[in-house]
Amino acid sequence: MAEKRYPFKFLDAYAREDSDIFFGRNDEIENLYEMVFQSDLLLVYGASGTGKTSLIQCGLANKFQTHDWLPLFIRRGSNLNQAFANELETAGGTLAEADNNALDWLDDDLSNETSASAATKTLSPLARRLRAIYLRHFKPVYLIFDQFEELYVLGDKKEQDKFIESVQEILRVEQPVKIIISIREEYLGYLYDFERAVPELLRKKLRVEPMNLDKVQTVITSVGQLPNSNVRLETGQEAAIANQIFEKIRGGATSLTIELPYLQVFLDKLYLHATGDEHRQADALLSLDTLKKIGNIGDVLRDFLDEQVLLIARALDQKPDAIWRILSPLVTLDGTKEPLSGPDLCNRRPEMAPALIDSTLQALVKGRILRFTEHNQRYEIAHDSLAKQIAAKRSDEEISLLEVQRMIKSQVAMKAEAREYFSEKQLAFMEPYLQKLTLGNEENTHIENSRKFLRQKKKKQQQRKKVTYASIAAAFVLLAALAIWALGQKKTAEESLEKVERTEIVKKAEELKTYGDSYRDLQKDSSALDTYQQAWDTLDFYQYKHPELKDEEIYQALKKILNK
Amino acid sequence: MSTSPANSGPQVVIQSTSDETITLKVNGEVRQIRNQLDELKALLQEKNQQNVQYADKIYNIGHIDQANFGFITGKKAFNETLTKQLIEALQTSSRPAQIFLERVATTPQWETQVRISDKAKEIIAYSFAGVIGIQLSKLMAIGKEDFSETKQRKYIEKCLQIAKRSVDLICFALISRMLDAKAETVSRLSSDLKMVLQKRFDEAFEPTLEEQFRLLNVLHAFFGDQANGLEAPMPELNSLGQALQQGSDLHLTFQNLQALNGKLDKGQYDLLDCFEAETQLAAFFKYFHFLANYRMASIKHIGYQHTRKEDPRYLIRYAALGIDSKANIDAEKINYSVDTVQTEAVLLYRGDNYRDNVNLFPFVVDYNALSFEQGSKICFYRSQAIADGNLEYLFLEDNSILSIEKKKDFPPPDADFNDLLISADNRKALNLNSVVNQFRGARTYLLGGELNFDDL
Repeated sequence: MAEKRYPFKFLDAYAREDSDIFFGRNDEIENLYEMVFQSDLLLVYGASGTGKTSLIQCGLANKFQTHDWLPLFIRRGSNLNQAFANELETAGGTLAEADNNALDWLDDDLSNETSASAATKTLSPLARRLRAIYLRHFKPVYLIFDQFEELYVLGDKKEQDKFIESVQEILRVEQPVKIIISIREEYLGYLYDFERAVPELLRKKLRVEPMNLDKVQTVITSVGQLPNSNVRLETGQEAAIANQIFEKIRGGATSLTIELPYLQVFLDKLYLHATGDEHRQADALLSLDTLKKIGNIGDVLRDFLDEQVLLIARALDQKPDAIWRILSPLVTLDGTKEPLSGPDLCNRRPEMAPALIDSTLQALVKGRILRFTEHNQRYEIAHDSLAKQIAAKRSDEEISLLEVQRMIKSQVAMKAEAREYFSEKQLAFMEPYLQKLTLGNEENTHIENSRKFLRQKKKKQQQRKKVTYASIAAAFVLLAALAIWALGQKKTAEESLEKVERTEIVKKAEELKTYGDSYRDLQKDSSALDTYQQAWDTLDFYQYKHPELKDEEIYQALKKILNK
Repeated sequence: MSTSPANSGPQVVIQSTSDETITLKVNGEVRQIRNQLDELKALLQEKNQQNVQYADKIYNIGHIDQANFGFITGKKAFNETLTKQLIEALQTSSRPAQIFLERVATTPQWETQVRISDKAKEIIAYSFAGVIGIQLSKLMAIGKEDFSETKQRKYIEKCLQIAKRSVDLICFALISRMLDAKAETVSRLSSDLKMVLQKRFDEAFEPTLEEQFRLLNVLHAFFGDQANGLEAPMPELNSLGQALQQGSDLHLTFQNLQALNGKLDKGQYDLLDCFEAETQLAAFFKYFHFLANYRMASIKHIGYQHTRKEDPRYLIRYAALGIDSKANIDAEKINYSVDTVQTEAVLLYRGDNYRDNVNLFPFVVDYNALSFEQGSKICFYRSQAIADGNLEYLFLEDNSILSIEKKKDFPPPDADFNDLLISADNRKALNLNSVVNQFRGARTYLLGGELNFDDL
């Protein structure tokens, strides 16, 4: 009889060999498998905790015979393009060694006789690598980019653009190569540029729905019916047990679905509650009674995390806060996982002893909160659902520290010519946290350059102020001088006008007097008197304005004639 | 050839092999001999044993010869024999194969050098007509996997599938050509041919290789009879008259392959059977390597363009079938032509000119084209379901069965097609109905209406 197995995966994704315990996703598996033959590029998306990775790594994988697919699972690590290149290398995508020139013709396209060598030589290194992999295995290559949101959460534009170029190239290669991208649905919007460059990106996509009651029932009853499972359900109570589990995980929420990690952690907790066997080898019989005894569970994932952190803190003789602080850098500000190596983590926590960090990491791995990947020597949070919980635990100061870190990283990640210096406000915000961060040379240089730039800017601003004030004073003086000059000019003009006016008046009075003289010569005395009077009136009218008219000869003459 | 080990089993057990040596356990004592059949035979004779155990199987030394010995000891890789024989057979039909052989002419035992051998495999996989090339690449892939019980089963299975699908392809091409012939020609079908054809149309099980040979034999005879005035769509078949006779070497190959099928069904196969399968497949392609002269294409969509005072043109969007066929719409090819081809067609054609083709529909269908999807899902007609008379097709990619049924009472008699065709689901249902209608129409055209499946 086959050895009994524990049928729950906790926070691990299901793999190809877990097909006997992977339930509730038959429709999605069939749909995805159909799609594989309809497009060379597929997108699998869904909320965190819906089991996208398991769907591909277990569900889809088991639809293929081993000779029908060569899956290359690619996670970003520190750079997606580098991780991709490494994976191709591992799969046999090494370019032919130049140690046997006599066999160079093997790289030629023999169907193209005219330009056999040229045809192959024009292949890009990526196309040549994919061809090498195909020739090594003769299987269709499936490039599976899991947790693709990391490219946008942790990567920069340059990394994103290079990856898009690679995808465009892959879609052109002759060999059977397909791409499957798995991404959290809240990051779909980030794919805008990608879709513009590769329009088929969103043509074939599958949304992985969260688990509803029907699916949870399928999972739980199927697990209970597995012949080699060490978990059994009380006969006749299967549906009711599934219903109770669903309700307990859902808590008071009205949601019609639950997240898989919650289900897995709950089932594990239930098993431990029923058996107390931490090795998970004892047989368990789950019944409504077992469920009743476990009582109300609250947030099962948060409780699990709190409990583990507390246990680890106690074992290491530390305060829980120290453990939370070690966990914190492993989660981005957005609450997603950020895989880090041990040394990376020590750099992020310079105030903590490396030995403490190391022993905490080991304990967290043992406690199934962290996972350690051998090939890239990185630690990562076991699931994004846990990452969210860790993010929620952060203090304001911790959040600020991460914000500062992100601000610095996002600038330094850009090409030097594209970087922008931090503003005064940003530097002021960053300043209190800089001591707590271990920054690289480039990062320190950028901050120092920002400060320098700011100092120079301030100096220039001050100089500019001085120049401005001086200019204003000069302008004021100039304006005053201009005003004085204008007044002078005005006076001169007025004087000139007055002179002209006086001359005109005198001239007019003289003309009238001449007429008066003419009347007098003709002995028309009354007309002469009237005319003299008009000449006098003319002068008299302007006399208030030009008193100097009295000095004119004509004034005196008329005064005598008229006896004024 | 082999049996499972029993308690009273042999005392000579091969533990490991290398290019140079074989390490054995003889009655509990570890011995090392050179990796030579003679030395192994001598050792067994010395120990007075007839059997030798390797992995979990026991082999009678009498069944081991120089040809298959290397296969057991790992000296001869899977596909080594097939690759060499196939590329040599291909040199008359494939220019790349010819160039390849010219270049390796001075390299003795090139087939043992992985890099050179892989190049030959690549040429083979890319040379063969559409889906057959894909199947051959799968065989290469299985051959490259680590040794296991599953590998042995899959390898034999795949050799058999390749032979079966190749014969299917030829038979379907011949039957399709008959469908395009005039009724007068079809009326000359012999009762013998009709009987074999009816079995192929109506059988509820996949035909055996022996039955396929019989079908090929009678079809060939019909096309070979000049009085019928019908030319085979593959002229290379004309020279196979002798080979297709009962008792010929080719017939023997079919029988040998059928025997392997029997072993597979009973789970009584071993490593030597893998070698046997490979050898028989190579023998099979000695006659059918001409399939490398042919290509396949699936017609995805035909558009019509006719502007004033211009000749009408057709925009034929098709997918070339084969290893390098891509599933993206952008990778589909377009022919802008004054002539058109049949819709819902999977074409088999010689060389590069697909205009001179034989339409394999409804015996070979592209399920994706029928359901307006991109990419190709090529399925070969297999049998009729016993229960409901649905048509069962084999999806070649994974050998799964795809059932195509006629949607009952569809379209409704009073349906307005302008409304009906708005729905993609209705269009798909009409296409699938068309598969069944065409299939039944073909049967009626060739055999008369002896059986009406609508009555089922």
